[in-house]
Amino acid sequence: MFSQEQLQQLYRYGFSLCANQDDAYDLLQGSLERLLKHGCDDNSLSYCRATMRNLYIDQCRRQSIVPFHSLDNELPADINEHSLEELVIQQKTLEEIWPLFDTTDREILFLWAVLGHTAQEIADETGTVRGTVLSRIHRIRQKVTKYGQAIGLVENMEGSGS
Amino acid sequence: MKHSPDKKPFKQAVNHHFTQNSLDDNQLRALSAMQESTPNTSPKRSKISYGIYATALSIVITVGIFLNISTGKIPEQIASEVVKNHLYMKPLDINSSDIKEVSAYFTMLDFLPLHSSEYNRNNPLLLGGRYCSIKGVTAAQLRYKNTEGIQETLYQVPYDADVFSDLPKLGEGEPPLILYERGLEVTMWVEKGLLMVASRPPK
Repeated sequence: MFSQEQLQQLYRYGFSLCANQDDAYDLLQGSLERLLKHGCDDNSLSYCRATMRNLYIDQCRRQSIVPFHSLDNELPADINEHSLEELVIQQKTLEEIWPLFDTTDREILFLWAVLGHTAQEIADETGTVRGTVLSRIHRIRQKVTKYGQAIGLVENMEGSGS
Repeated sequence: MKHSPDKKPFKQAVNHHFTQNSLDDNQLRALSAMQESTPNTSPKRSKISYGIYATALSIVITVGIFLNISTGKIPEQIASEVVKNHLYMKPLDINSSDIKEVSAYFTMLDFLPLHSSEYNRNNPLLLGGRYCSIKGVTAAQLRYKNTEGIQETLYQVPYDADVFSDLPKLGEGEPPLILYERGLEVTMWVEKGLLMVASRPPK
């Protein structure tokens, strides 16, 4: 069904949702069991990610956790998916600010940075609209620059650096 | 496009953040075995590819067993994993003091969690259960409160000597194996075909 490389990729997607290695493994294992149990013919990675997403939402609901927060669509005119690509950052700084990202942020970052999705592709996969994804990207950028620049460890590639 | 040498493009840093998290060999082996052990309804896979997969799987399992043997200490690995789960104390999937109700919840397991006569000698109160895994094998975690009000965890998983090594079997009169890990007492034994691992503060 899935190769080891594909399993690693799915696990990392689970990690983007759960932010915890054990939970990511449990989520992937539970999703594979669900796919296998129902004898699904669609063995695509995107279908498995959708299954993982749905299972994750189910688990959050059982624990009365709101997994994905809605967001106002207040959007600056110049924002697009390339806005994040203008940033440079130290790896250590990214790890320090990572807890600031919520589930939606992490999922978008995974789909964008690991799978190379565009904002429209992210919107299609997560069942939202491109504008909402761009708002999220804007919010992520704000988080990174606000906390990163405060300690001088994030800068814009094309800017002056602060 | 100049930037400090210790900084990297944000996208590259995010990618690195994710790729530094990987499934370990045991987890990969378990997930691969799970896929192969379930009949695939897809008509695309031929008998030849099944043969290739089976051969690859047997090689992976053989190497895995060899690695486990060469590193020894499987009980210690189990104890370490179980204690980590114990300390996390994640929320229960089901809350009930009825073992039948708790067992019925675990529909995704290929075994039935049971009332352990060995574990229940001191009459702990069952609180509920949740899914977990031990050495990559899906398991049930049952949570109890002992008579002193302290929470204990009991893990149940189908016993496979190739995966879990040779452990004491109650049915053959062997006493449970007791280990200590991170200040907790871990007891393991085989009962009615299931590996039982209990984790609790030492008395």
